[in-house]
Amino acid sequence: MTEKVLSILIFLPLVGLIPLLVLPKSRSGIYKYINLAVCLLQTILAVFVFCLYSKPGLVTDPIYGLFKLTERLNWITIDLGNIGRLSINYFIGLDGLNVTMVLLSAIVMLIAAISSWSVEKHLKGYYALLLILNTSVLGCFLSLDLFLFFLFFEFMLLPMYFLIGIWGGPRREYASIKFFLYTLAGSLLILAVIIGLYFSVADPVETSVRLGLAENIEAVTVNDVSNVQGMLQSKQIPKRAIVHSFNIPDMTSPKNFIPGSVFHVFTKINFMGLPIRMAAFLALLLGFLIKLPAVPFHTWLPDAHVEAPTPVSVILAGILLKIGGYGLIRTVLPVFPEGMVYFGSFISFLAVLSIVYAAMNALGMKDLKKMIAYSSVSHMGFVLLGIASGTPEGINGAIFQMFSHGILSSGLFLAAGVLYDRTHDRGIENYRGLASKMPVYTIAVTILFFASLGLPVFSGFIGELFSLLGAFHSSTTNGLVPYWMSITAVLGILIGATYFLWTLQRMFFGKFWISKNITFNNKFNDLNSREMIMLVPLIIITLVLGVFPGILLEPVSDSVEVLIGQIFSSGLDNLKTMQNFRSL
Amino acid sequence: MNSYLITDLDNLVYFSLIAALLPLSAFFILFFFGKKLPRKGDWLATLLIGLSFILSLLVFFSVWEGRAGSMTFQWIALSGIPENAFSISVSIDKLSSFMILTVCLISLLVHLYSMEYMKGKLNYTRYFPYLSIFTFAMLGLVISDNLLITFMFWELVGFTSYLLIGFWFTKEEAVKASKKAFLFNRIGDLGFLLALMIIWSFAGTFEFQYLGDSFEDQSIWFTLAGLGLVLACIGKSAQFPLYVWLPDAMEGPTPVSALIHAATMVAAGIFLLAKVFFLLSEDVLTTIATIGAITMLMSAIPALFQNDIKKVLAYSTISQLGYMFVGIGAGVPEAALFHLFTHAFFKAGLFLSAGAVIHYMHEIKHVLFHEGVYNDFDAQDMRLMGGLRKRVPLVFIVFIVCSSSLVGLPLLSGFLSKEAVIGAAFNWADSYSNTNNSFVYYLIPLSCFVTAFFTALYMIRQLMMVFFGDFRLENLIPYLNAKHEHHHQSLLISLPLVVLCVLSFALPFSLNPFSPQSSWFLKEFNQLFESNLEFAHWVTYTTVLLALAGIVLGIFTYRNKVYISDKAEKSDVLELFGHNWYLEKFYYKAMVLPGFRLAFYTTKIDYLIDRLIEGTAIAYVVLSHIVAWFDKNIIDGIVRLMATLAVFISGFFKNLQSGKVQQYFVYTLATVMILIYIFFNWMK
Repeated sequence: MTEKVLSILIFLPLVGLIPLLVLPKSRSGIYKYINLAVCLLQTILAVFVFCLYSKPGLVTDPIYGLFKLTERLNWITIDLGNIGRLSINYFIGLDGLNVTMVLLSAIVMLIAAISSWSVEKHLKGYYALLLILNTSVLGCFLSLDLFLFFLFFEFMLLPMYFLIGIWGGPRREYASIKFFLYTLAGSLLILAVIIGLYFSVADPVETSVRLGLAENIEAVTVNDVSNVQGMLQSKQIPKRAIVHSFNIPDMTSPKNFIPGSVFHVFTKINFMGLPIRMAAFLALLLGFLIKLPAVPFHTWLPDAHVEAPTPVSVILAGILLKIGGYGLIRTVLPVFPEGMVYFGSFISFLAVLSIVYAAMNALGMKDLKKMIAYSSVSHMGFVLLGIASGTPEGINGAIFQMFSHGILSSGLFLAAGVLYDRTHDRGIENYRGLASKMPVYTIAVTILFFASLGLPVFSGFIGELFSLLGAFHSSTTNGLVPYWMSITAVLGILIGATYFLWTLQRMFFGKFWISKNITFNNKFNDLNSREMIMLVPLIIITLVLGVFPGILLEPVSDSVEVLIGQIFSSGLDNLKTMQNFRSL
Repeated sequence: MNSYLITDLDNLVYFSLIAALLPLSAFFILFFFGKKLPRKGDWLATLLIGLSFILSLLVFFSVWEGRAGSMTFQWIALSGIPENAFSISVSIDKLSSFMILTVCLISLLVHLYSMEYMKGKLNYTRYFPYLSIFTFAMLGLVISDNLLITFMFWELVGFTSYLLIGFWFTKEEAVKASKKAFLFNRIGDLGFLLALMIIWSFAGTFEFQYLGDSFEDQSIWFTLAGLGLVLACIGKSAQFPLYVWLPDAMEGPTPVSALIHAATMVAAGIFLLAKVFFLLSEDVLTTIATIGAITMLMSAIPALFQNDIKKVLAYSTISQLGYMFVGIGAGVPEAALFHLFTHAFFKAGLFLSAGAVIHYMHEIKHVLFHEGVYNDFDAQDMRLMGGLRKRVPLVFIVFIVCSSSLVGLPLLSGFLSKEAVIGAAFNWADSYSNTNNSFVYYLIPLSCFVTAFFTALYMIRQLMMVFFGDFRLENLIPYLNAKHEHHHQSLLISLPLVVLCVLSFALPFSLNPFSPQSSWFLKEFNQLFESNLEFAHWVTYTTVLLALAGIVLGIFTYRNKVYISDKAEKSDVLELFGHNWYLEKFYYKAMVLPGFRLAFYTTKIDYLIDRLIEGTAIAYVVLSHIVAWFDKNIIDGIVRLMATLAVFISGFFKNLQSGKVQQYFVYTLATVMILIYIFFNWMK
C-alpha cells in the first residue's frame, strides 16, 4: 500500500464522490460527514507520508534520484510518424518541494470541511465540487508530468468558479468570472510553453526502451539514460525513434532537449525581440505570478475573497495561492534556469513591490476580509522574494512561508468568517471593543494577527526572516536581488504590524460599540466548539512550527539544494551559451 | 534536532534555564486554568518567580566566584547552510547573571506588590500570566548567546509589553499607547533585522562567540550592522528620536511601569549594546554618545512641566537611559551597566511609591463613592496632591531616598553610577578633543552636567507637589477634611518598597560610598571590558554641587506655588513639551499622514488596475459583438446572398422545364439556329 499511497491520496475524494452522488437528497445531512471522513483520512495519510518522507530509509527513484514513492504508468501513447512518439505518463512522486504542500493542502481541506458546516444551499453540488477540487489540488502538487500537472491545474478552475459563483456573496458573479478569466489568461501562457516543451524534450527512459537498449521501463539503468542523452545530443537517434515527453524531471536537464528544437539552448528563434527560451520563461513566470498573485496581477484576489464563502476563502488563500509559488519552483526555475539568472532582479522587484504595495493597500482597507486578502498578497511577496534570491535560506524560507501563510491565512479568513456569521457585516469601522463581548475570539484573533505580522515563536516570523536573510545574502553574493530591494523589503514588516495593530485597536479594544446598520438576531456569542476545533489546531501548528521550524525545513532542504544547483550550474551555462551564440 | 554541539556544562546553566522556564510554566498554568485557582493563581505566579529569584541568586554567586557556563543546541539543520548557522545558545557569564538577578528580583517585587495593588481590578485573571510571560521573555533575552535568538526574545519582550501597556483594554488611550509602543519598537527592530541580514551575509553565523572573528575588516557593512543594532536599542531603550512611546506607555498599570519601564524592558537596549560592544566601531560609539546626550537633555526639561505623577518618572527614565547611552558611547560599558543596575532599583522604587500614592488617591475616590459623593478626579494628577507625607509616611521616606539616589546625592547608589558615567564621558571628551583638536566633544559631558541639575529640579518639584504643602484635594472637596485618617500600607506593598529603598543606598554596592571605583560591580566588570576607570575628582564635586543647586532652586521655586487655578495653564512652553518638542507632530505629519495618504493612493491605483482590466473585458465584449454583427450580416449575408442567388437561378432554370412540347420545340429551334450561326462564323 505504501507504494500506492500517493495515488490513494489523490483519488480518495473521487471515491468519496460515489456515495455522495448516490445518496438521495433526503439524506443531505450525511454529505458533510462524507466530506469530513474523506478529508480526515487524507490528513492522516498526508501526515503518514510526511513522516515517511522526513525519516531516512525511503527508497529514492532509481533514475530520478531525488523523488520518492514515484508511480509511473503509461497513459497516452500515440505514434506520430516522423515527429516521433507522443507519450503522456501518469507520473507522480514526492520530493522536498511538494511534500510540505501535500501536508498543507490536506490540513487546509480538513479545516475547510469543518468550516463548511454553515453552508446550507445546494449541499450535494457543493460537496461534490469540494471533493473534485480536493482531487485536483493534490494531483497538481504530486504530478511530475507537466501534462498531468496542467490538467489538474486547469481542472481546479471549474469547481472554484462554481463555488464562488453559486455560494458567494452579493457580487459573486463578477468575482467568479474575474477569477476565472485572470487564471485562464495565465493558463493560456502556460499551455503555450508546455506545447513548445513537448516538441523539445525527449524522454531518455522511454527512448532507450524504444531503441532496444532495455526491455521495459523498469529495466532502464542510469547508464542507458546517459547513453541515450549522448546519442541525442550528437543527433544519432532518428527523429521517429525519439519519444517526446512531458516529464518535468526530464525537462530540468539540458541534455534531454532535442537539438534543433524550439527550446534547445542553440535555438535561434526569437519571439518579440527576446530569445524564445527567455520569452517562454517570462510566459511561464507570468502564468504562475497571476496565481501567486504578485502585484500588479493581483486584483482578482480581493474580490474573489470578499465574495467567496468562508470555506472557499480558506481554500483559496490556504492552498490555491501556493500553487503559484509551487509552480515557480517546480517548473519555471529548473526548466528555464537562465531566465531566473537573467531576470532575477526583475522578479525580486515584483516581490518587493508586492510586499510593500499590498501592505499599503491593506492599510487603506475598510473591509476586514479585504484587509486580510491584501495582507495575503503582501505575505506571498515574501515567498517570491525568497525564490528570487536563489539562495538556500531564501528558497527554504519561501517554501516555509508558503506553508506558514497557508495555515495563518486560513485562520485569518476563518476568524473573519466567525464575525460575518454573526452579523453579516465586515466593516472594520462598524465595530469597537469586541473584546468585552467575545474574549476568546479576541485572543484567537490577537494571536493570529501577531503571528501574521511576524512575531517570533510563530511560523510567520521564520518564513519572513529566512526570505529576508536570503534576499540580502543574494545581494552580497549572486546579485539577483539588488541591495536597495532587500532593504526596502524589510519595510513590509513595519507596515504589516501597522495595519494589523490598527485593526486590532479599532475593532477589538476600547468600549463596546457597533454601528446601527448592523442587525443581528442573537447576542454576540463567543466562539462555539466547532469554531474552536478549527482555530485551535491552526494556532498550535503555527506555534509549533515557529519554535521547531526544523520539522518542516529539514526534509525540504535537500531538494532545495539540488534546485539551486540546477539554477546556477545549468542556468549560468545556458546563459553563457546563449550569449556566445547570439550576443544577447 | 537538539543535538549538542558544544558542551561546557555547569549546573548554573541548568539553573538559569529553569529560572527562565518557571515563569513560562506560570504563564501556561495561569492562562488556561487561572480562573479555577483560588485568588486566580496570583500566588502561584509569585511563588514560581520567587523560585526563579532563588535560582538566580545561586547563579549570580557562583558566577561571581568565577564560574561560567554555556550550552549550544542545534536548532535548524539545513543542507547547503553551515552546520552551526542556526543554533540556540545559552551563556552564563557576569553580564547575563547580573541581568538575571535584576530581572528576577524586580519581577518578584512587582509580583508581590501587584497582588495587593491589582486586587479586584477588572481582568485580574489575565494580569499575572502577562507578567509571567514578560519575565520569561526578558530572561530569555538576557541568557541567550545567539543574536538571532536574542532578537526573537527582543520581539517577544515588545509583544508582552504591548499586552501589559494595553492591559486596560477598554481604555482608548491605553490601547493607543500600546500600539504606539509596539510600532515605535518595530521601527527600531527594522534596524535589528538589517543588522541580522548583514551579519548573516558577512559572518554566516549569529553566535556571539564567533561574531568577533568574522568581522575582521572594518568595512562599511560593519558600521552599518552596528548602526542597525543601535537603532534597535534606540527603540527599545526609548532614546531620541524614538522615545515618544514611553511617556504614553504610562497608561499601563503602575507596577507594570515599574517592571518594564524602569528596570527591564528599557534596560534591554543597554544590555544589548554592552553585549555587542565588541562589534561597535568608533563612529558608532560616537553616535551612541551623541544620541544619549541629546536624549537626556530633551527629556529632563519636559519632566519639569508634567502634572501626571507617572509621566515625570517616565521622562526621568528616558533621561537616565540617556546617561547609560553616553556611558556605552564613551567606551565604558561597565559604567552604563552600573547605572542600569542602580537605576533599576531606585526607579522601580519611585514607580512603586508613585503607585502607592495613586493607590491612596484611588481609595479616597472609593470612599467618596461609597459616601455618595461622586467625584471623578484624576488620581495621578499631582496638582491634586500635596502634604501626603503625613498620610503615607513610609512611601514618603522611600520616595525621598530613591529620588535622592536618582539625583545622585552622596551615600546613595545613584551617586556612584552617575559619577562613573559622567567621569567616563569627561575622559572620553578629553581624549577626543586632544586627538581631533575640537572642543565639540565636551558638549556631551556638559549635557550630563546640565541634566544632573535639571534632574534635581524636577525631582524636588515632584516631591514638593506630592508630599509637602497642603493636601489640595481636600481644599476642593471639603468633605474630606472630616475623614482625616492615617493610612495603613499592606505588607505586600510596603515590603517591596522597603527592599528597593535599601537597595538605593550606596552601601550594598560599594564599601566606600564616595568612590565609584571601589564598587565591586565596576571592579568585576572592568575585567571584562578593561576600560579606564580613573575619573577626575572635580567632575564629582561639580555634579554634586549642581544637584544641590537644583535642589535649593527647586525648593524656592515650588515652595508656595499655586497649582489649581481656574485659568487653564496654557503657554507655548507647555505646548512645546506637551508634544515632546513637536516630535509627535513631526511624526504625525511626516510619517502617519503620508502613510495614510500613500495607502489611499495605492487603493486608487488598484481601482485603476481593476478598471483597466474591466475596460479590457468590456472592449473584448464589444469586439465580440462587432464580430457577431460581422458574422451575422457580412459573412452570413454573403452566404444568404449566395442562397438567394441560387434560388433565383434555380427558379429561372426550373421554369425551363415546364413540360410543354411547344415550348421545348421553340427552345430546340433557337438552339439549332444559334449553333448554325456559330458554326458558320467558325467556318469563316
